[in-house]
Amino acid sequence: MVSPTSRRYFRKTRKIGNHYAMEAAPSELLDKLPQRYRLASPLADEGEAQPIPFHYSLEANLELFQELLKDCQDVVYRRLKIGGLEGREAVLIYVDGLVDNHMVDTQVVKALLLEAPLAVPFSTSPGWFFRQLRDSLVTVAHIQEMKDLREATLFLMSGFALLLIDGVKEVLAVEVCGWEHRGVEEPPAESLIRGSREGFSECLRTNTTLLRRRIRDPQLKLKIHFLGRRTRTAVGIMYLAGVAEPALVEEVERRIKGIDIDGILESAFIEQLIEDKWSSPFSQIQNTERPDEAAAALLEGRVVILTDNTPFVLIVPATFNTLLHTPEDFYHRWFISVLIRLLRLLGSILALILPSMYIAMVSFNPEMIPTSLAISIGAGREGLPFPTIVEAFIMESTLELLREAGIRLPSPLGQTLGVVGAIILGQAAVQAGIVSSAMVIVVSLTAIAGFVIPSYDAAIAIRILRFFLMIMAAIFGLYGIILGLMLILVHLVTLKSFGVPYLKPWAPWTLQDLKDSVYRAPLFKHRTRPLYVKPLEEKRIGE
Amino acid sequence: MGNRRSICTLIAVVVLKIVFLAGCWDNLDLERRALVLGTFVDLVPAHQDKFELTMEVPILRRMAARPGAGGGGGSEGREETLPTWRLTVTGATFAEAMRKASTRSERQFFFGHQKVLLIGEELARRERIQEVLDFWTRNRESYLAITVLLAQGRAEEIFSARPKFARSVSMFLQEQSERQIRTSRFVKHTLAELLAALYGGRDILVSRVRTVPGQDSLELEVSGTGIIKEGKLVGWLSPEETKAALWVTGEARKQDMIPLPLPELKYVFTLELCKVKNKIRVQVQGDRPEFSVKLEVTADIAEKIGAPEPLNPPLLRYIEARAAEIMKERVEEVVAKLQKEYQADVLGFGKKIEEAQPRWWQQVKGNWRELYAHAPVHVEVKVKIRRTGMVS
Repeated sequence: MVSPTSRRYFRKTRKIGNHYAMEAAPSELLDKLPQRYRLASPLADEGEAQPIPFHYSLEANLELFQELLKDCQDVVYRRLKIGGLEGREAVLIYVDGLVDNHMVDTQVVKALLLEAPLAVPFSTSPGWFFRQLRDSLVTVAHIQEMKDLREATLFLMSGFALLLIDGVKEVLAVEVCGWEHRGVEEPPAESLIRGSREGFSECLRTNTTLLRRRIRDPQLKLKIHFLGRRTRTAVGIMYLAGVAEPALVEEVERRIKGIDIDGILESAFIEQLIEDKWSSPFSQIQNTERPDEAAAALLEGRVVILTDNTPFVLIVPATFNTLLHTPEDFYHRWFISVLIRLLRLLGSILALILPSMYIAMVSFNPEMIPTSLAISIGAGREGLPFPTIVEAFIMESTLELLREAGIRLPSPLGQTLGVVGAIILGQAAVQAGIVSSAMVIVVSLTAIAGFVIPSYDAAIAIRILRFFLMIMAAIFGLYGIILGLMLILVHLVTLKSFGVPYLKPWAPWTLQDLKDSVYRAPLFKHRTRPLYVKPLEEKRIGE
Repeated sequence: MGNRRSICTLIAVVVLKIVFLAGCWDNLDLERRALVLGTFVDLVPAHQDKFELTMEVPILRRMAARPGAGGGGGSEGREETLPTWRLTVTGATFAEAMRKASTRSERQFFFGHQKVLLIGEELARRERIQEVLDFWTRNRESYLAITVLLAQGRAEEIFSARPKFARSVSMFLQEQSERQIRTSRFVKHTLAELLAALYGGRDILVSRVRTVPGQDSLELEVSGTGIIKEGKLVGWLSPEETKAALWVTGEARKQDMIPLPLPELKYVFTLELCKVKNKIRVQVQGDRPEFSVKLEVTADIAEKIGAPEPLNPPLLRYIEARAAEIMKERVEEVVAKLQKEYQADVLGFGKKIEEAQPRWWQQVKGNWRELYAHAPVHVEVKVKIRRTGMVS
């Protein structure tokens, strides 16, 4: 759950805090707020938020809240009289659904109504009463005093219950959070054969727990920022102090603090706002749903960014190399890992250039094809209505259509669609003489090769560039493919992710880091962390 | 911004340049080309000044056996041999003949897949090959790595044969030439090798193709070689002579068999040659060159027909000596034939002089053939039998 303990977003100090007249009626007070604050959420913060203090009068405070939370019918106001009929007036405010009702009942209401009369003498002063209540009555672990309406409202909206007491200028925020959320489940997009079945969930606290349980080190730091003027989404930056490069952590924090947007609904928002180059098809930030992958990244000295309400955490810096890896590579024996990584490399190359190679070879350079194959392809293409490039585009587009259609279908239907699309449509198209069987083979092989790439982001980049290369091949032939590949390569070497060249460790060349590239050295040879992340502590294996 | 704009301009310029400078005109789908698998060149018998060009082109349309496409016919639509079209055109030059061929084919001829170039006997005897084959060296589509063969007789005969395994005559010739590893009865020379030798003033052997009567039609046989002297075919070497010649040039392959009749032992052996190491030395005596050819042969016994006596070391030494004798005789025979009958230096003796004594070569180059015809050649053969087979 969220614990908005950070006061960082209230950047303005209190020196003009009492700007508004205390005597003014609460509604007038709100009216006197500058126009933009009245139109926007009172929580909206443009760096000049002024604290709004509470009153001594309970009724005034209540009016303030009721004015602020007008038409919020899920907000519950519970009037209490603490200490019997003659007791002190109080109001408990909370948002229904964000709090654990059982906890409110037993730990707050019960304690105040049944135990307070026994513990607190009737005639105590309001301040003393408040302190007594805070320190020895409410049986909830986390309690905080609030002096500012803005802050209190944020707590309220995060699932705290606010206790307003007559005659006290402070408000007590009681942590009684509890809401419906998905549990820890296996991530469907990143399932492995061997390895933890846990995946991140939507709850930030669960996610930080999953990482804490993997790395029991006080040096695992967590810094929470609240992003989004209206959503106030909690975003946690986790890193291993003493391993991660301080400059990297600083840079991540700087970029995250620089985000000024109304809402962060997914970590993708953060990714797109802090990435180095928006105009690249390649994603420069890795995302994962797997805690073990995030933990491995932390151990390498990378920084993990967790976002509330999404199971996808971000890992920076990312290189193209890391996008082709899965955590499983380290769970299996190294031989098979090396072979599988080679297979993935082959898969990404095939997914990138196979259709364009086919186009170039069939329509520009048939002498590149072995004679028997050329005769077979030529015989298959005999009588087809379209030139190769049109044929290729038809088939590739069909494939993309099938894929896009299949994503949103429930899985049994999706399978049917796959069968219909792949087998029946392909077969029928060949029989009807619209496409050649060689093209169907090429397209299917390309699709299969594309699915070998573990990172969806990398796969997307390759899908886009495949079409780029197909156009290049259609215009310039093999020459165009080489030209296109060179352009892609030039683009890749200019890319950087948080100061790390995207093609590390190949370009620039770092011999030591090749142990975890396409090659995966046996585990005991991984003596150092990846040097391109510039970890403070390089060694990871003792003598 | 300025930087980005200049980069954009640069890219635009580069791309435009490519559009106009690079080969967009190569864009022609495979099925719109007529793949020429092999060509046959010869002279037209009637008017001697004209060339005849025959191309073998697979008819892809007839191969397109799509299941269901031909009215529900199954996989039976696929023919065993490639349906090919043999197009014969004549012209004053080959380029002209090609243009004539274009008027008879709705698809553009494509030479990228040409496997073989077959030269007719008539043409080879009358014209200098290097002068006639100019078209294939200038044409940017064809490769110089295509195999060159000499046809005994005319193209019709060669093309009327039906290869049993290969899918067309051209493919047969290509595959058969690659099989040279099993036999040295012919030699594979590419167009590049042929032209390099001819332009360099050397003589060369080119394999011979001929038809032999077969099971139900004519079959093809690649065996023996034609002697190309100064670009012209002057005569044939039989397969056995070809073998002996290839021992000397070093082009003989492994696993070549030679029969070895030894009447005094009542045996007939067959030796399988494992390795033939050749060494040609030149010695100049006054102004007459003298050649010594040394062959070091290691061989296995592949077969023994005759008395069932077991082999023993002294016997093997004797067999080795006799084998050397027989091989020596055969080499001397073919060298004599090449020297006396044809004055064709296909064994590369001239080149040896050029390598060993370039200055003297410059002097004698003019009357080299004269010198060659009378140069004494000493042949020395050493045979070592390594294995006698599974039984002995």
